[in-house]
Amino acid sequence: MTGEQILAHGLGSRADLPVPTWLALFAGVLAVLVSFFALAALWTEPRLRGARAGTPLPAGLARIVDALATRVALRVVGVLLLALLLATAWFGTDSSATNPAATWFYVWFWVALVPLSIALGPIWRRLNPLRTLAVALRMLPPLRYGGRWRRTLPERVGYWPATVGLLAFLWLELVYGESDSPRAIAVFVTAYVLVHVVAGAVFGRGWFDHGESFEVYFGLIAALSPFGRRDDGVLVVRNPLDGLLTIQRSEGLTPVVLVILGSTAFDGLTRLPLWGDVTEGSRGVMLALLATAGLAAAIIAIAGIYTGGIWLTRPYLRKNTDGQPFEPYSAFAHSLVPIMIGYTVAHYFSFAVFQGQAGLLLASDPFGLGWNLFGTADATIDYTVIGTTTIAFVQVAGIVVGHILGVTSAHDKAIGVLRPKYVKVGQYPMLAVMVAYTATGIALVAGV
Amino acid sequence: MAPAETTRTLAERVILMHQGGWDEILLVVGPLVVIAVLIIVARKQAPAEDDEGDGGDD
Repeated sequence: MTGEQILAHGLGSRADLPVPTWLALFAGVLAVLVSFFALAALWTEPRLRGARAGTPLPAGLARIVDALATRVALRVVGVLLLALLLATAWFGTDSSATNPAATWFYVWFWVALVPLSIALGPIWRRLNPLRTLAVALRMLPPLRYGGRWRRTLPERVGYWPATVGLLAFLWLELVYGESDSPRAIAVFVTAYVLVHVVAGAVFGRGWFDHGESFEVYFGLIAALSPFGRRDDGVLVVRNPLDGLLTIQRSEGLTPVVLVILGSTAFDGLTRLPLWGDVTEGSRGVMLALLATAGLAAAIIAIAGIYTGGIWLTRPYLRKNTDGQPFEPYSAFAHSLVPIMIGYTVAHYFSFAVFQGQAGLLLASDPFGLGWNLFGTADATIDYTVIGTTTIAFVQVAGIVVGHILGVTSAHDKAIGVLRPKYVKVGQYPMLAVMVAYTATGIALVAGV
Repeated sequence: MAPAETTRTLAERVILMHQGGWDEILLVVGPLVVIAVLIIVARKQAPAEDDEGDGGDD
C-alpha cells in the first residue's frame, strides 16, 4: 500500500456506471417525479405518527438494551476506543500508509457509523466517550450539583455549536492538504475532546444533544433506524419514516443537514477532472484557499437551492392558531435527512469497502514497531471483494432511494402544513429542489 | 507565478475546461426544464395574497 492509495476517495468513476450517465440521471429524476405523483394521488391523509408509533420490542431484549451493565460496557468501550485512536495518532508513525489512525477515524468512525446508526439506532450516543469524560469531570467541586461553574445551555444556541464543529471537521477532511496525517488527526481529536468535555461538564447532557457535532450527526441518521424509543420511553420497532418525525426541531437543525449535503457535493466535485483543472499548479496555502472557497460555495449553493424552494413554498402555508404561517425551514428539515444519507452512501460506499480493510490490516502494527498482532501486517487490500457494477448500482440507488424517502416524508408533513386546496401544487417548489439535488448527486457520482 | 497570471489562467481554464457533446447538454438542460416547469406551474397556481381560506378539499 502506498501513501497515495490511502484515503484516495475517488474509486467510483463514470466508467463504473453500467448504463450511460444520461440514462442514470433521467431514471433517477423520473423515479422522484413518479413517486411524488403516486403519493399525491394515494397518500391524502397524514399517516406518520412520529414518536407515538412503534411496536414494543420483546421485553427480554429491551431489558438487555437498557441494562446498567450494557450501558457501562458501552461507555467503557467508547473510552477505550478513543484512547486507542489518540495513542496511535500521537505515538504511531506519521503516515496513513502505516498508521491505522486515519482509516479508523475517517472510515471506521465517520463512515461506518452511518450504517451502524441506521441498523441499531443512536449507538454513538451510547458509546460517546466525551459524555463519559464530561460526567467524570462533573465530579469536581465547582462542577458538582450547585457548583459555581455550572451553566444552563441557552435555548437559542440550538444546533449551532454542532454546525461549527462539523464545519471544522469537514475542513480537515476535505480541504486540509495533510488530512490523512495521523498527527493532524491527533491535534484535531485532542482539541475536539477538550472543548466538548469541558462544555459538556459545564452545560450538562443538553450540550451533547445539541452541541456535539458527531452525536448530532449520527443522531439524525439514527432517526431513520427501524429501532427507536417511543414518547412513553418504550423501545420499539417502527417505520423509519416515523423515526424521522422524532427529530427535535431546534434552531440550526437545517444548517447542520445543509452543511453535510454541501460538503458531500464538494467532495464529489473534487473528484472531477474540472477540479483538477481549476487547482492545476496551486500548492500549499493557495490550494487550501481554493478548496475552502469551493467547500463554502458548495454549501452555499446547496443551501441556496433549499432556501429558494422554501421561499416559493411560503404562499401555500397554513397559518398557526396565532395567525402566523408555519415555520417551513424546520417543518421540512427532517425530509433532508434521508437525502443526506443517500449522498453519504453514494460517495463513501466504495471508499468504505476498500479503504476500510486497511483499518484491520494496519491494526496488526498500530505503532509502527514491527508487530504482527493479527497476522495481517503483510496483507493487502482486496479490491476484488466487490465489482464496479455493484458499486455504481449502490451509488445511484442510494441517491434515488434517499430522495424518494425525502419526498415521502415531506409529502406527509405537507398535508399538515400546506393549505388543503394547495397540497399538491404547494409541493412543486420542494419537488423542484429534490429534482435538482438528484440530478446534481448522480452527475457528481458519475463524474460528469 | 504572478497573481495576475494565476487569475487569468484560472479564468481561462474555467471557461475552456469542459466541452461536452449533445448528451452532456441534455444532462444539464433536462433537469432544468423539469425544475422550470414545476416552478412556473406553482407560481401560476399560487393563492392570491388576500386569499386566507384554508378550508376546502384538494
